[in-house]
Amino acid sequence: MKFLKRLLSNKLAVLGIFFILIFLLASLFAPLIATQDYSEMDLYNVLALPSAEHLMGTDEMGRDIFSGIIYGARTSVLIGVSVLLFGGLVGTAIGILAGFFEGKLDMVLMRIIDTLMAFPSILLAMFMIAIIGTGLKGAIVAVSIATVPRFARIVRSSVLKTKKNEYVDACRVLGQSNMKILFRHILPNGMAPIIVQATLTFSEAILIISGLGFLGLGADPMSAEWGAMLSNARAYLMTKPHIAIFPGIAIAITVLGFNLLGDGLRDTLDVKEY
Amino acid sequence: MKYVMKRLLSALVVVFLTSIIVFCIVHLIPGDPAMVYAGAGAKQEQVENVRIEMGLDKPLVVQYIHWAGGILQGDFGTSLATKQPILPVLMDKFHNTFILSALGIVFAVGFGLLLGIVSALKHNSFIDLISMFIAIIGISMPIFWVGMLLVMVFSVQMGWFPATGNDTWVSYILPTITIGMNSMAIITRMTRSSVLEVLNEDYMVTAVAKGLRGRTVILVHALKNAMIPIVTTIGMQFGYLMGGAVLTETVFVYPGLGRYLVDSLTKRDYPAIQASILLLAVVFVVVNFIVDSTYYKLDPKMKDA
Repeated sequence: MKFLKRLLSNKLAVLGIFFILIFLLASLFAPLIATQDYSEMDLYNVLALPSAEHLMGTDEMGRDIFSGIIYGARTSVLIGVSVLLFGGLVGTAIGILAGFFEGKLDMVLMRIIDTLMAFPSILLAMFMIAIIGTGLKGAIVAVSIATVPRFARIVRSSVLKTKKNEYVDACRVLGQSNMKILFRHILPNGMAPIIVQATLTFSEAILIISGLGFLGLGADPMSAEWGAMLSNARAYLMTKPHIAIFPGIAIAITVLGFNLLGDGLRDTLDVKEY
Repeated sequence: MKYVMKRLLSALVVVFLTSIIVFCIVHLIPGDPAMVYAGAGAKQEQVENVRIEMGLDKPLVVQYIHWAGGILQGDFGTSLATKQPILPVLMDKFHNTFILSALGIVFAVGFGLLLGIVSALKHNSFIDLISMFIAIIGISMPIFWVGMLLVMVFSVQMGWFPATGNDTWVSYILPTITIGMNSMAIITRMTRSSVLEVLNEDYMVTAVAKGLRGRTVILVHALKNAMIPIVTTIGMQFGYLMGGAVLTETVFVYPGLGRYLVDSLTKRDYPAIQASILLLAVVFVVVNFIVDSTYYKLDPKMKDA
């Protein structure tokens, strides 16, 4: 409770939570909020300016941009959650193995992780896409793999640090098993940096996948994904700039929300940057 | 010196490992590599010809040595799309991306340091608030959207700068801001927090107590000590900038390496994909190596490492 109170006293973090709430509500109630199905085309009404009927106008195929953005929030939740599940879990597992058992295993794992960390995530993702192929699924797998190294590093140093506490020694003297010490004592106490990283990973995943969608390597151009929507809008920058504005705002606000919350959590939980 | 040698060795190991993975791309994709090279719709006979011609029937190790040996001699193979040697095109694209990244990092470092230092010195002031706002926005906006907004405002509305190409120096201005935006934001935040941290150190309090003038204290003591994390960040950003070049180059139809990689990916031009990924990877490793060596020079504590 004390923690929550401190977090809520951070104005920027509250703003972040507010943005995230909008984003989550939009994705949860998408069919109720959206004025029409995004795949519905109206070829008599293409590239229309915002109006009462189409709140944010229509794109080059006459699809309603507002509805696209609302359904796009759904796609983004799917992206963020899958990347966290795949990348976060694998990274955490590697970090635990390396940090808890140390020794040779640690050395080998960290060598691999360091090698991967030398490359920017978007390049790693493109590298994976070269193998898996393009498309939203491929992009999600690619970005998940790209987030593994940072999770592994953070979890490892968190485990290494927490392990030195005296209560861990006490557990050992009491004869508790490795598993019990790890999951009962070390992980819960070393959770803070992992939570901060998870928040930042969520926004990074959305940014990179929208980038891949923009490049035409991610989501299908026909689907409701913010990056893909911007990719279509590129051809009309000169004549119909409004179709490029709203999807960009959607990405920026969502990412900003998670970044502000991440910063707030970092301060509240007193996590040093790694 | 021992430290630098150690870093050099590990850089070489990374390059070697990367080259193996890049080599494996063609063998990891589902399907027969000979069929990929021969192209869709090739006859069985053509596929067999390609297999023998490219040595795909030989063991993997032999193939790797052949491939890597070729690259060391400057032979990156021929593009499947254009049937032309890759190297000249690759060098040309790399040259363009390097110029854009260099301009971007100059922009990012210049403004990032300035905003960071000013906001640390005027902690909690209005200027501080503004630069922190710019920084968090700069991190949250997708850079390709930044580019699109710049084009909308400064090319389409104002007509000040061209929206595409790299013909005159004016056409570099918008891409430079686009590619450098994100790094500028990160450098601003890093500089601010490093300077703030140093300002609270005991020796800073001592320096002020000794009667040193404000400006001397800041320039000599604060910046020198705040420089280590800042240089690390700048070095890392240069690498990341070249990764972000892909998006910037796409927005401005700029003929760089990133755009070339994306085009090759869409065309499934595997030799070109391999060549551009390998080149980008080597650049990152070289930049990291330079950063690590600089770090060593800046931080006296590293002498024992």
